Amino acid sequence: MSFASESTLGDGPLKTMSELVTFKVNDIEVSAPKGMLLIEAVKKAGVEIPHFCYHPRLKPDANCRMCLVEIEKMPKLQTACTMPVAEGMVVQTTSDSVVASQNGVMEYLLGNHPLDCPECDQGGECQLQDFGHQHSKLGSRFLEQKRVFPKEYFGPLVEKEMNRCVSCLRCVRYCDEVMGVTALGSFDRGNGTQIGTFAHGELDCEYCGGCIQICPVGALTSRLSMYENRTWQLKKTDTICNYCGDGCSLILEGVKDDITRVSSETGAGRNRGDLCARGFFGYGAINHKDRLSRPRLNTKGRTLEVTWDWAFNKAAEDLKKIVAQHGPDAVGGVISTHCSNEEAYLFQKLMREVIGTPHVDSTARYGYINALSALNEVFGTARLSHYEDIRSADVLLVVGADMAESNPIAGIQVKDAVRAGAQLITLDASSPERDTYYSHLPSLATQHLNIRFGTEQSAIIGLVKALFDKGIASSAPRKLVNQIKKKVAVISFAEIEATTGLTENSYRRAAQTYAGAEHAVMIVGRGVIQSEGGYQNMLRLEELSILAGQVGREGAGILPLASENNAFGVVESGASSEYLPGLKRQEAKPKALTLLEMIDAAAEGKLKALYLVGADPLRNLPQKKVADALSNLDLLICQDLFPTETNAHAHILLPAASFAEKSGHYTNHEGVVQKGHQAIEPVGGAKPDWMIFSILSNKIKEETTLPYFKLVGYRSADEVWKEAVMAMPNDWQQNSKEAISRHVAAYAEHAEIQYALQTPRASNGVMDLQLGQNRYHAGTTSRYAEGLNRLLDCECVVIHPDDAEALQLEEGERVRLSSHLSGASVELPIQLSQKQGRGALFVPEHFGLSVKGLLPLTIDRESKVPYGDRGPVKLSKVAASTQVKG
Amino acid sequence: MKLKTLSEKTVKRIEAEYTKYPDKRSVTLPALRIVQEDNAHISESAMADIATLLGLTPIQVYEVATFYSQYNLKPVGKYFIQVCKTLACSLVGAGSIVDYLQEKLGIAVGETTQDGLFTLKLVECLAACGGAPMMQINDRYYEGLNPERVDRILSDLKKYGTSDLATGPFMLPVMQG
Ligand code: SF4
Ligand code: SF4
Ligand code: SF4
Ligand code: FES
Ligand code: FES
Repeated sequence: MSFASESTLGDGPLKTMSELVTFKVNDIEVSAPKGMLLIEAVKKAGVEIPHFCYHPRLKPDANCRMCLVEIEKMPKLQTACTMPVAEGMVVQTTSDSVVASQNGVMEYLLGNHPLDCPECDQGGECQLQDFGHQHSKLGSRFLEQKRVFPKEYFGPLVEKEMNRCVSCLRCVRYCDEVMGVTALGSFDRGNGTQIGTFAHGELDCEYCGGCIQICPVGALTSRLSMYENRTWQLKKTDTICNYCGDGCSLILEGVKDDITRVSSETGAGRNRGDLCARGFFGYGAINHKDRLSRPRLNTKGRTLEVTWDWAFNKAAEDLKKIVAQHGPDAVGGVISTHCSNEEAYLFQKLMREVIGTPHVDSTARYGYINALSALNEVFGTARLSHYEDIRSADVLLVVGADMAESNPIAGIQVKDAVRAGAQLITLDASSPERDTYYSHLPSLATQHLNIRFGTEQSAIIGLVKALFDKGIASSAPRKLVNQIKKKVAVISFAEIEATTGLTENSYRRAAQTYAGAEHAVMIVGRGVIQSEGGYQNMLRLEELSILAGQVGREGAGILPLASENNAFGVVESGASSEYLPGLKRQEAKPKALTLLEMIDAAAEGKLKALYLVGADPLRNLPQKKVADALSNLDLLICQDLFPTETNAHAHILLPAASFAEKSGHYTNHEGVVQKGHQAIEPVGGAKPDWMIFSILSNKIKEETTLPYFKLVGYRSADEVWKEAVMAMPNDWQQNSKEAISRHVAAYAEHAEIQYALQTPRASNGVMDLQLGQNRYHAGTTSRYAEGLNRLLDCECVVIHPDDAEALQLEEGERVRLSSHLSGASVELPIQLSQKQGRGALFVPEHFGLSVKGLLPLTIDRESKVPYGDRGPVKLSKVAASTQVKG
Repeated sequence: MKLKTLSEKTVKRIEAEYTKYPDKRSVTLPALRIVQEDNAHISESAMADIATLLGLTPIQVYEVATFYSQYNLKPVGKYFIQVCKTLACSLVGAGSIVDYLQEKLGIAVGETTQDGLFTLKLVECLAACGGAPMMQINDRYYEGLNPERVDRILSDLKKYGTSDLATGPFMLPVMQG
């Protein structure tokens, strides 16, 4: 990876270009920031300079010569893609010599091009077509045979047609400069130059789709939508990706009600046009044949499809019956963090106001609530930093996050910062080596704090303690500083080292870098947020940032990574047991139950009805316990896109619309609220969640059997949004410095800080297992996306090659993981990865349920988050005779 | 960092180049040359090793290796014949020299004779246009070629391992071997 020279990407350089210069292009006078590239600057005059190798997301390369222009006083034609504008420049883009050179370049390019536009998927959005049309003369002087490359298989998702390649190297440069993956190269030479992988191998990479999107011609196209449509036939809708908390803007493209492609616009959205594999190739879940399409009732051992009217009446009646018999507190509801803000708002309103129960929660309870409440507790807001801050920071501290897997686009912001010279400190148990064609932040780090598995909590103490040397900011409240100082004084670095494996010096160096930064951003991932002690550990990290003076001021802050797209928004909209809309603490009576407590209450027979919207507790919690609790319920209403383990138990199952089928607002982990737009009509008979809540509310309130469409209530998600915004505090999206420091001061007054060093764990033959996210999947919905399944479609256990060698295991060999705690065991094939920490194992969480059964479950005392992703397991070879072939 | 193919000696030689260049990536060219000197050709797994050593991905080494015809990516015969096919040589009959060699050796361009003695390859201008048509065999030039001279050169090489008809290269010290 070449991170050597300074970045020309995104917003970096333009900041220093405020001085304006005036120049002339084709006799039109324009002004532009000094130093801006000519090819950009002339756009202001409505002039387009034809180009192939230039792309705003890439450093200039000037290899195609298509952008040559004439500049007065310069001896020969100049490439507009590398020439900065200067005061008084006089530029011609249509003079005879420019036209002659453009014709020449086009003649060369077309000399080899197959002109197979009729069967090329790029047709209609091809720069060679467009510029060829405008800048070629009829006819060619080439008499030679055109080159023909043998057809090559280029992996399951990318179609490579090298005869069409114009050798602009945009794909190669994107893969290297933006992704830091560097899987592509141009090999051979002259006429035979082609793009490909090492030794013509199958493409093995992060599959971000960026090379496909950036290729100006049809040389790289998607195999997922081959020969399906012409671009001008596709209806394009801007929306927000539903897979993770990065909040990427993407464009869903489809015909009628079928999404057949995803694209993004260069520079647009939080992601500035970049996407990851899930965003680009993951749309297949939307129109999947297994989508639930009609309401179902499970009664007397039978499953019946019913009309919406019947289902609404039944749900309303049954809910009312339970309320009448057992009181409203016998009802609880949980909503998924994939739903929109409008939906979360309406859901909590349905539960709290219409039904009258305090028991409402969301799947943020699986972890993200730790981050939101810990941030809110200390700062009064969770909006503490943006991607812009990451890109302009001089130090980044990434704690407990594997961003290339969980949050690839937020990861790109970090890569961009490193490229621009930022120092990166990573803290996790992964090894700093990377796999050949997969990026891995610790491999770019100035310092990788390579802790022992599961010791984040102790490592944080190390960082805080090390800070006391010279790093305490004057802005930190004295009371807080003194309390912390006393607490960490009784813990020695020797003890910390015995637990975490890191020396005093490592902590000192990291703490100094972090505290000494002009602007540092701390990025916190699931290794902290969703792991044991998550709530308290989050608080400790926040205190670290206060002590170091790296929060609550311009350019510095904290970013809590969300693995689900609207974890932030769903909680903020009030779908959380402790919060009303706007993160206002609520003191309900009786005390509002959290997700887990609802399951317990159901098991005890106290909770009689449960409404689960996109929540699948059977996957996330001990199955036997949840199954027993669910079967104990008088009423289980589920609302989902697909059949799940949980909704198999539902009395009433309602088919919900996906994000493509509705509009609504989503809040990403930066706290940025963005609107997603409806691309297609709901698939089958599904309805948007907000509409279901709205109708159901009216059914319950009005005690009527009127047909549901007469009871719609809210006519659109926008109408809900207007009301939801009114329920928020005035300044809900603001985070003024003053307000933050007021909150910090108040926190310092009442905080009772505890530091608990974990005890060092002896290895005694067991390995540490972590469940987590794979870069190609998110939750389980992505498992319905054909494109993503082509990249990873079965469960495996990831192990470091050294460990595998020591155990005499080969890639793909099946092993048995067993737990001495539960006695359970699973058999899985192994996959080798250099970045896997030694002594530790990783299993992607998107597949089978049984691996969960190996791991112990603990519950956070304060936040009630269930932690069940980590634990010790025994790994053993499966005897050859019992190996399954294939 | 595990290497699959390169010997310790080769690695040492490559590492000795590091100080001469501003960054490791620039060592790609000499690394490839060293591997070819030590192993007679550059295998794919050797390229992957170079990438590991230099902190690159294998494709970045592959790009360079496939760009220069001087690197042999497949094993070559004891005598590696490179016939110039560029303009000056072509104008005075390089084409028929190639035809003659193919027929005489019974191999097509790019192939190696059964006995492992000769490999035939076409290359761009070797900067000996004054002696066109010409070819290079291992490190020596042979100029003013015609079928008779080609016969003599090949039979000399078979018999003695060298030939008096060798001329250059003039500007470079002649390497042994
Ligand atoms: S899809 Fe793969 S090869 Fe293409 S840019 Fe992304 S990581 Fe690189
Ligand atoms: S494949 Fe496309 S992007 Fe890559 S060099 Fe060829 S034309 Fe350019
Ligand atoms: S999954 Fe996350 S990183 Fe990938 S495109 Fe969607 S929002 Fe962006
Ligand atoms: S766009 Fe300027 S040289 Fe390619
Ligand atoms: S053209 Fe053959 S040596 Fe120059």
